[in-house]
Amino acid sequence: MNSNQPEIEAGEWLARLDRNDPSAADIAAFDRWKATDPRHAAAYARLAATWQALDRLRAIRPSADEPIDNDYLNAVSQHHRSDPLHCSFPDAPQHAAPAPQDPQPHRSSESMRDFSSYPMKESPLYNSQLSRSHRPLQLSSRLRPWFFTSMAASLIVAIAYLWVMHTVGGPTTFSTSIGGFQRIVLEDRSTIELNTDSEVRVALTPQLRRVELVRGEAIFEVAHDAVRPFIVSAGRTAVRAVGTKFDVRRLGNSVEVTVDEGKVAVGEPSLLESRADLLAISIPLSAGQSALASGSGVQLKQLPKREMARKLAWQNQMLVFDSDTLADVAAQFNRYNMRQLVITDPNLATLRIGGYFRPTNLDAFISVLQSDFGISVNSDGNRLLLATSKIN
Amino acid sequence: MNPIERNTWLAKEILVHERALRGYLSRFFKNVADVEDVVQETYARLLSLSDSAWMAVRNWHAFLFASARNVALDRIRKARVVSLDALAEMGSADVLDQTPSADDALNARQELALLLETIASLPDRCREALTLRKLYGLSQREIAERLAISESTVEKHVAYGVRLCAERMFVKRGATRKPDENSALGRKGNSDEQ
Repeated sequence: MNSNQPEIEAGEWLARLDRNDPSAADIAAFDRWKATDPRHAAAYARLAATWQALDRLRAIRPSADEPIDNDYLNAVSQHHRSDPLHCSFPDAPQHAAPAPQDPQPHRSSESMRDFSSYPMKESPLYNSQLSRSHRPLQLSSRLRPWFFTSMAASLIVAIAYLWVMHTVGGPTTFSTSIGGFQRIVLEDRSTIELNTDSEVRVALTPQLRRVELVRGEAIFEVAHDAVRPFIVSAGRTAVRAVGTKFDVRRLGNSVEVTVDEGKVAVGEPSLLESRADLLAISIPLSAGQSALASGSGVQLKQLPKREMARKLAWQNQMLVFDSDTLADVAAQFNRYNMRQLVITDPNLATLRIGGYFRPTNLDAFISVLQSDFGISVNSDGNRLLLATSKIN
Repeated sequence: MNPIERNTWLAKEILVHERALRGYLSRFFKNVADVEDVVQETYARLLSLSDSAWMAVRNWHAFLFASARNVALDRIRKARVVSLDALAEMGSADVLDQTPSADDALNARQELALLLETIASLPDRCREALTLRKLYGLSQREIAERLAISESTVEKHVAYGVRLCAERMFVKRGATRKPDENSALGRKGNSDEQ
């Protein structure tokens, strides 16, 4: 590669000026640099011509139905190379197909149409991985009584409906405290169910239904309105829907989106709001799928029905466990209670637990731990210390 | 000529011959750096042509080689140790012998294939950044967010990527050697040509 000083500097200038808004100072400095030496201008012109030539790649831009693929050109180029006489490129996808088993998604344009085309490399963001959970739901037999009483309890939960009339524009905030639950019915008849320790800001306008999940978790049941998209943003991730039901949960820097009914698009908030070529800038998710978006990418998962029911059980103020570790179960309970379960015996962390529980009925869970699992529970202020009982 | 037209002209009429031009110049200069300097100087001369001179050029390929020859002669004469061999070689090699080879000109499909090969040969992160920038039209800021890297890193990928692309497209057409990812950032100024 050319590596003399004008060439290197020209590359740096081109990249600098290619930024969103090069400053006036940058432009002035660039002009000075260019005028200093004709070879500067020449090196820059050569790279600028190269840069411009790359714009021709837009001719093979994927259809607007396809989500952005960071490594699209690599895949296309491999396809192209393997079939040099037939220079064709993937067309519009038929939208998300069921989970394929083929682990090599890159070899044909066919595979680029389905979900498996997203896993490209380990590193790129917004690449997705599809996996299936085969684990059947197994209710621990000794917890079955709990299952029935808890189910009964869930049926008699009275849900308070909150009718909210919005003035156009101004956002309205709704929140729950730890252990809280709230169901909100918006004026368009969409509903939001807020899980424990959660907060949303709602702004309905004639063009857009915009909800910000500030913290926690919420289930959105979106009333169909094709002209007024419903966009839920959570940090750097957003979900766009027209009419569907889905769950969004913030977990630290990650955001988990689970779709119960219909289809949504997952992407970057400002893009989802402003761009019309929706599917080119987002990942489609349909019923039965979940996406975990984090700094390192979006992971897609196909959820079996039971797993889905389990994930959304909180809307009935239930927690459903299925051979989950005590550590995970404790973490779930800790979301809903001021009193925090603390596992002091590392051996207990991996204990498997199944069953249905009311998240706010911590005492009931504790008594199961004591009677059925031989776990001792000692209070230390707001901490409940779990240890292996000496008697067993 | 506006910058876009100039870039188009440069790519279509001049840069497509760069590989051949370098081959021609390498007969007189053993050092790759000298060849690079002469090419750059030649481009500088073409770019500084007045509009009327520019309009008068009928054959850019011939003009390019003639200009390069003049630049090369200047350089040889100015060298502290003049290479008589090089001067003799220069005098005997008729620049008009340098006719455009068939593979200098590309049809649209070949050009697209070349662009794809070029992009595919970039280091991974660099390739992703250029894909997002050029194929999807994301801004550097959006790319930074998407790849969870800093904007200045994206800028470095662009700076390095465009140089590599120029290399692949106009110097080593079709070469798909993947350079070391480490060389994408940080290492500057060393030729990986040697």
